[in-house]
Amino acid sequence: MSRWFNQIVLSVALLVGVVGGWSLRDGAGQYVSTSRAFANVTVEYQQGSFAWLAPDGRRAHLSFVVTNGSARAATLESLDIHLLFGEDFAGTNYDPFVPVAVPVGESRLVDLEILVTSLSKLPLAGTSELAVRGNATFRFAGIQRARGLDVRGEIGVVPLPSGFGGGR
Amino acid sequence: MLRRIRLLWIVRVGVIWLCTTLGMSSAALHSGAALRDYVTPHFGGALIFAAAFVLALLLGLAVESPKAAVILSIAMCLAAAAVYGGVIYAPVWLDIAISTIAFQNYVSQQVLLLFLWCVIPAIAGALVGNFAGAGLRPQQRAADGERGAWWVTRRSGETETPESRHTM
Repeated sequence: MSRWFNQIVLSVALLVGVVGGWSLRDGAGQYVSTSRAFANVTVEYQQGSFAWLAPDGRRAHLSFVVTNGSARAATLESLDIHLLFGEDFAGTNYDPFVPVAVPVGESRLVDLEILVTSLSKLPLAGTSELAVRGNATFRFAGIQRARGLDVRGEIGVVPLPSGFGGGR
Repeated sequence: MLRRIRLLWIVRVGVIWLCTTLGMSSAALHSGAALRDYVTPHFGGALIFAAAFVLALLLGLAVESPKAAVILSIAMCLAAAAVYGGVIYAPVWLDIAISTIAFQNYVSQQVLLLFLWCVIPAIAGALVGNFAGAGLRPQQRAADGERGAWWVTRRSGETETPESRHTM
């Protein structure tokens, strides 16, 4: 037995080494690939897309450009956007979000409708600095974990339209 | 001749250490908390514990000296923890992510935690393997045929004394 002992131990160790090395490379590759996918998606407010849909500033429309620069197909599963008047919450997109598939290397335009629900802030609608804050959730093909992404955008002052028949 | 045999022995132990370290690093990657959502298949922390024990046991079986087996096992855990930390930090080196103090602290914490988690079973495994292999392992120097050494030339019935050791 002792004659073969060293050979048996060495063989087992070599087997462990080969399997371990392979799975180490595989695991590290998965992690790096996932990190790369996570780092290469963006959601940006499309400048100039904000428009009031109601004369009293209760509803608004805005668009976001979703870009997938990763090597995996991505799906934007959710996009929760808060509209701020100055630094105060004014409203959000209350409609259920329909997931948007973004193929590799492509961009998609996502339109949202914001409902202003903070009625005390409503008089400031056409005069305050508008901004959006929120978060997006992406899923990637072949990756279990979803990626959450902060979304920020500065809109500026957008006067209420006068052509709605009287305004406030 | 003797130098060559010693060199071969060192290479053999080195190969076994390298293989067990690869296995341990792989186990760390597939069961470390930091990579739970990124690497599949992913096992719980128990795998690290079990792998450290079993792989150190293999090292203990291969090395004659308990002291050397324990030192090699600790080195295995250190190297595996370093590989684990390196993989977590890899997105920074690959310019995928930016390095922040919080991220650096997180990586250090994970490395330290992994090392502490695996070093205790590794020491136990090395000692168990070393003692278990005592009867099975061919005595290194005797097997190498080191001429003139007291443990090879001593006739049966002779006992070891300090004087006899010096006179050989």
